[in-house]
Parts: sequence; structure tokens; C-alpha cells
Amino acid sequence: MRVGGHIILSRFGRLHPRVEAGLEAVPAAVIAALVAPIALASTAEMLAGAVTVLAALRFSVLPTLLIGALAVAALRAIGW
Amino acid sequence: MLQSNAASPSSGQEFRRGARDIVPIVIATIPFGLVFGTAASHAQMTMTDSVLLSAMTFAGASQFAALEFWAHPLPVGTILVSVSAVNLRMALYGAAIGRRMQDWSPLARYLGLGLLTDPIVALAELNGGSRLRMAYYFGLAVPLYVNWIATTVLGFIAGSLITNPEVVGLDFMVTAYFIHLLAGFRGRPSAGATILTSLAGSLAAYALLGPPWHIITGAVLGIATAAATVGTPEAKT
Repeated sequence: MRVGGHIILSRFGRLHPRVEAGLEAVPAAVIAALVAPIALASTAEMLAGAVTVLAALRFSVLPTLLIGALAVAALRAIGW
Repeated sequence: MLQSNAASPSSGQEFRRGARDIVPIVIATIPFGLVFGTAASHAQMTMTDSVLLSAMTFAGASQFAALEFWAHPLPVGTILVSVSAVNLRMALYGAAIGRRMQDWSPLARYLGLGLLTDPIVALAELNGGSRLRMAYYFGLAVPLYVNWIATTVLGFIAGSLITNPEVVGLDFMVTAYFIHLLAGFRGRPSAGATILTSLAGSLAAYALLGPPWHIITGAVLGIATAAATVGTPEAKT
């Protein structure tokens, strides 16, 4: 599957700017689609997600991961 | 860096740079490999089954989906379609990143694409430069792959060592990592519109169709937004 997409697209040579922009947006679009369901999962995950967004805008990766994990653990511990 | 006209970094340096960049993700992935191994041991898989699944799939979401089907026998076709749909994005990734592997040998390219994962795509996008260096890419991919198989084995052996990853929030680490990656895309043309459309589409599909359709729905809508807004005044900020 990973190879297949590449083989199909590599047949086309130069790409239209819209296709180019679409391809550039693939990682951001897919990752957003992957994380969105936490908003429906539980109150703890939704709130921890919001906390993690704030952390991600301020800190590097490891503090962000720690803050996210601690936030969700704390919120679950108090029963959310 | 010190010599202004020095040749580009050696392959060894590039591999080590990739290996350094992937360290946080390797750490973040350890609990998931362990949990997958543990879950596999509870799903009546043999250790060989679970290691082969990790080695050949190398995709957490697909593997967890496969575990669900393991206990409830279904036609092979149904399983293949469902497990592939979970990671349908890999075909999109392969298309996007394969364009930057044109100067690699075909063998290296297909091997490299076989090791593609979400964080590798993101890091290669953010740090790979205009020409994606093969050594940098494999510096990212090899440690993650070895770690994934090793933690599958450890998790399987430990069995019930991590029975409750939820208590310490370990299961949230990948989500937090994805959020970190999304924050890194800010400032790119139409990144905000892409992400918001994708979030909305994903939530709607999750509520209406259920997983795994939210992934491809959100992704396609987000990509369409980026394609539709390119070259318009709003996109040129």
C-alpha cells in the first residue's frame, strides 16, 4: 500500500499546483483526522487534548508528551 | 557548518541525525509496542504470530484492528479491507513522500516506503530538506522498526506487566505526539483551514459512519481544502 501510492503517482510527472498543495497537506490533514475522535472519547481525553494543544504551542516534544499523559491520568483519577 | 563551502554531511552523519530526531518517538512508542505485545498474548496469538504481524505490518492501528478480528473468525477479505482502511493514509503518504525519493535506487525506495509511519512522514517533511537524504530517512526508520519488534517481544513475554496503561496516561502519549506534530504545521499556507476541516470531517464521519472511516473522510476533506485554497488571496498570508 505504501509502495502502491507512490508507483501510481510517479507515473504523472509534473503535478498541477492544486495536486501539489493537496499532497503537501496530507500529513496535517491525516493527523488531524486521527486525533479528532478524542473529542468524543471521554471528558478526560477531551480536556487533556485541550491542555496538550496549549502545551504543544509552548514546549518541545517531551514536555508536551509528559503534560498530556499527566493531564489525562489526573483527570481519569478524579473520575472524568 | 564551520566550513562554509564544505560538502553536504556524510551518510553516517545524516543517519545519526535521523536517529537523534526519532528518539522522542521511539520513547513514545515503547508503551504501545509493549501494550500490543501484551494484547497479542491475550488474543491467543503465538509469539511468532505477533512478531510477524509487527514486522510485516509495522502499523499500530492496523495491528490492534487485526487483534480484534483474531478472536472472531471472519472472511479474510473482510479483515484485509478493514485493516487496510485503518491505514489507508499510507497510500497517500507513499505518494507524497515518494516524490522526494526520486534519486534513490528502486530497492532503497521500496524498502524505505515499506518502513513509512506517521511520525517518519512528519519528521521527513519538517527536517528532511528539499531533497530527502536516504541516510537521514533510514536513520529515522530503522530505530523505530527495531524498537517496534523488540517491544512487541518484550510485551508478549511480560504479558500482563502493563495491564492498565490508562492509569498513568501512557495510552495518551501518541495522541499528545500527534497534537505536537499538528502544532508544528502552523504557519504553513492554509494549514489552519486544512486542520480545522479535517477535524470537523473526522468527527462527523466518526459519529455517522464509525471508525475507521473518520480517518479517510477527515483526510480527504482537509486535503481538498488545501487544494481548493491554493493560489487564492487567503492562502497567501
